[in-house]
Amino acid sequence: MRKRYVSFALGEGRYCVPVEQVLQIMRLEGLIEIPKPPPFVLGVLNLRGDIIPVVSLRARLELPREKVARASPDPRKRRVVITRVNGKPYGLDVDEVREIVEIEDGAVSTDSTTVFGGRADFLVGIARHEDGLYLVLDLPRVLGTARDLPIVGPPA
Amino acid sequence: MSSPASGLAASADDPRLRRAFLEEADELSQKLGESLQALEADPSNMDTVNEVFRLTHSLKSESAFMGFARLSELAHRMEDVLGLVRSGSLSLGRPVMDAVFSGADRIAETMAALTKGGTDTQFENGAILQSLSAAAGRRAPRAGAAGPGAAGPAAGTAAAPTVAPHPAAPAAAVRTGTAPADPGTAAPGEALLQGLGDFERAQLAEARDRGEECLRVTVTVDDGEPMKFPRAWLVFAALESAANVVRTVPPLDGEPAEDAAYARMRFLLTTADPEEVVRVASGVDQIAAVKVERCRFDELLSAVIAGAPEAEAGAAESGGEAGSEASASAASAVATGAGGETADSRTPTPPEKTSIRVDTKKLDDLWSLIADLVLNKSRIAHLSENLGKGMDPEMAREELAEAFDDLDKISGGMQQAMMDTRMIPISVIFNKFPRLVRDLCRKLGKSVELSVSGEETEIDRSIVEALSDPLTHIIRNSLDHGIEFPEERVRRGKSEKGRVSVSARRQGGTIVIELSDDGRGIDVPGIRRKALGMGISGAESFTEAQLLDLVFLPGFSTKEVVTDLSGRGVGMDVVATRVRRDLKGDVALDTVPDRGTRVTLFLPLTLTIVNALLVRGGTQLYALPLTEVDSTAKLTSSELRGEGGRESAAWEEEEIPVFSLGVLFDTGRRRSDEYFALVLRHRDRRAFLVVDELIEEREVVIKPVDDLLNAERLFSGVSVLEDGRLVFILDTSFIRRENSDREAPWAPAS
Amino acid sequence: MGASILIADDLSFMRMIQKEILTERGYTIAGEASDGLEAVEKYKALHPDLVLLDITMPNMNGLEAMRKIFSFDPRARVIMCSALGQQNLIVEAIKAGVKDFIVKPFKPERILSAIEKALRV
Repeated sequence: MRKRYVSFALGEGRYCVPVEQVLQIMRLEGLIEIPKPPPFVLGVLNLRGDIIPVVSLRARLELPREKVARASPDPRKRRVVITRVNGKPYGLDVDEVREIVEIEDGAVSTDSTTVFGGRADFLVGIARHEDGLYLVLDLPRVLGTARDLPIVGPPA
Repeated sequence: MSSPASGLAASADDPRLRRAFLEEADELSQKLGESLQALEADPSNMDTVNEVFRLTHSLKSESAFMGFARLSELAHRMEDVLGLVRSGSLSLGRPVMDAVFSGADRIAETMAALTKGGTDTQFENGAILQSLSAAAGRRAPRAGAAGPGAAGPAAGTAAAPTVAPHPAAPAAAVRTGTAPADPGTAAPGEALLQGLGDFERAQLAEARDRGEECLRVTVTVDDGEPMKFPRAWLVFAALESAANVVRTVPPLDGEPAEDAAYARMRFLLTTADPEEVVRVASGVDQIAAVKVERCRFDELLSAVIAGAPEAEAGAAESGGEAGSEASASAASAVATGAGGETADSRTPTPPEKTSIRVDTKKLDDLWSLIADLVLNKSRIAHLSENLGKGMDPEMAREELAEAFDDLDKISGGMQQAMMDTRMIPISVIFNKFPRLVRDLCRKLGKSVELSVSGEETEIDRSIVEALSDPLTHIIRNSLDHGIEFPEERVRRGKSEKGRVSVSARRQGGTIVIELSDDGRGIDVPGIRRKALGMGISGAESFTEAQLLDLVFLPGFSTKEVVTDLSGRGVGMDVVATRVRRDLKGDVALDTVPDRGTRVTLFLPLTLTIVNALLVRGGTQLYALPLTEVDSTAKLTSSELRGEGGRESAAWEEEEIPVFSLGVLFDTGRRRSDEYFALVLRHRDRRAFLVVDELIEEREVVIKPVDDLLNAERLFSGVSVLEDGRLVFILDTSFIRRENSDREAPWAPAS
Repeated sequence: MGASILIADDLSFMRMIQKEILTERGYTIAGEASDGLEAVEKYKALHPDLVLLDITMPNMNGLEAMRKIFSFDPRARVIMCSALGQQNLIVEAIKAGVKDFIVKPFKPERILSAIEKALRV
């Protein structure tokens, strides 16, 4: 079965998440700071009364420094991808939002994730596509709380 | 209450009926005697109790029908007493049995007299009725009677025992009704046409664009109708089958006021077929008068914006009565006494007390928590006594800590229990849908099967009214624009009958409501085209979810867009506003072309409002619930003892720890001679919290704070001020932690 | 007019009265039922033009019986008979689609007028 994903760039990597999880894409404006945030939380956005935490995917995925430096992203293309996971909205800070891709379920492989320099446990897998490789993110995991605290999941 | 004797003389005189009645009632009376004897021998036998209840009930009905008022009254009073015994609220002691027996005897005597051709009027039953009431007044200590919806006089009363129920006034028990229901005040036409809300305006605009007409329908219920509230409902339901009722005065939702308030009903509605409206309205029985007047859309809509009462004058073109209503002043609301109104000219009464119905089980829960509270209180009193007698202070402190723990649990339980009394099942809204769907199907010529689930899911009472309109609107949308006509469905290989499903469930602290249909789905490329056409930048690369979200934007669901989208999405901006702004929830759309559409609503379980003290630490605002703040204080640096995260200072002969916002949140500590501080209390512990500035006391609406923002669990919630600034509400339990205990779990990776 | 009517009430006396009133006006009594279950069964078997249901009946009350009847005949014409004080049940019945309700004790004209109006639709 082919599913559709929204893809975006972080440094040199291309990542993607299922279309159904994406609510909105906007510029990073109006970021509100919060007291003592975890290292990967940049702050929050107040969208129509909703307090939406904005997560730096870079930090969260713990991407190695060099990969990040080489890329040198264009700040004008920086975006926040507002996603809904478990009924709650979260924002993802990305370098650039790219295209919508259709990926065959079978093309997502879980073996080669060791190639990935960051937190491989935040990936569903790596997908082969004619346009290249896409790293499929496991958002519920990414947006779970601290490493050592239980991840917020769907209700029992 | 209609007098049974009037107009039924015909029945009582009809020899065939009389004979039949006498036969049956006599048999009932005999069986009653026998059953009572069995009951006396074995008062605990519930089957016998039920039998006696049933017999008195039947006797009451039949004799009432025949016009034998005294016999009926007696049987009714006995039925009430037996009803109490049946539900466990009354025990069958000697006095009760005696009263019931004498009642049965009198019934037998009456039957004998009737059989001989007499009437029941010769019997003076005052004393017996009294003794029955008196017997019923002695109740068992348990909270009594059935839950909400029970017909008996005890329905809905609070757990505490009350005086004996008066059988002649079944509706008298609890409800004094909500404020606007007084028929005597407020010039009648006004409430209907003024102050139209967003929803109503959206509906009017949509109707106007569809070429419908706007009507004001006034219906007067027959004086002889003993139950006007349900009659008004019947009229409403009838009108809904031919029109879209935008507003109803007095409103039929929520807790009903006293019956007389519904003698005269006003409806604002839109329809494509005014004659049909007149026809269905006249088709309801027990209606004395129906008046239908046309209204003008543009005046209604503009009046709302301008806030002017001119709409009245314009809308009331026809009919002198309407004209005089329009001229009455709004605020003082002295009734004009026009036409068939029941108005007295008196000034508006102060807002009536609002009351609600509560499931008695919830009150029972609260009751037992109170009992626990009383136990705890005596335990503490006991402890205090022991201390006086020289109890070991260490042991005492332990006991006290335990008692506080219990108190904490109890008060938490009580808070929860009180909140629970505010919760009612969402079925109060869902129950309207089957009829709505049936009516719409008939109106539109479509065929739809509705399935409802999760109707037992409970939601906060205060949300119910606000939620009802959006949900109804979404279903209308589904049927109007989503579900195709049967022939088209068949052509597309779908089942002839469309499917609409409504479900509710609880997911943690959120209520999730889903409404879905298996219709056309929403034309997403069409939305994109429109978005581009409207110049929304970036629209070409919007995801489907984003495009669907556009449907919720005001200005997007315009008529133009609407026709392209086949009408879907109209009013969705109002739904979004209602859900997001007023209910502090969220709404989302999913769609698959040709397969269907699903609307999902997320609602927070309750809105929590708390009185708090606002303080500043660095650039950030924080709030402390006032219940956890003992006092404010100024600390001088010389008062501080200790160091390095373990400072303390004296307060009321106690040495308590000193925390500071700067240290808690890594914004640094100011060195100063003097510090502003709060004295916080969490259960038995107290501590200082040094802050940069004390701002003010105010109410804050607490929203839940995401775990991602609350790793150290320092916050119990977050609030958004009117100016958009965030205030984090501190969870004072942190004062129990040693400073060094708190370590950020986000240890860096390598 | 000859329309056929099903009467459901647990009191035989009430059924008798209703039968008298209706047959005098020329209606046909399709059948009688003394509880909700029987009412549903007889409705299925007899296809009356209208059914009079008492709200309180043993085995299955009028409201439930009505819902069951609607499930296989959404166009059923139902009139509910109730005692004073059963307001909430009546409103539930209206939401579910009942055509009219009659409060007991009722005058013959009342029940006839309600039936007449209900049959018109």
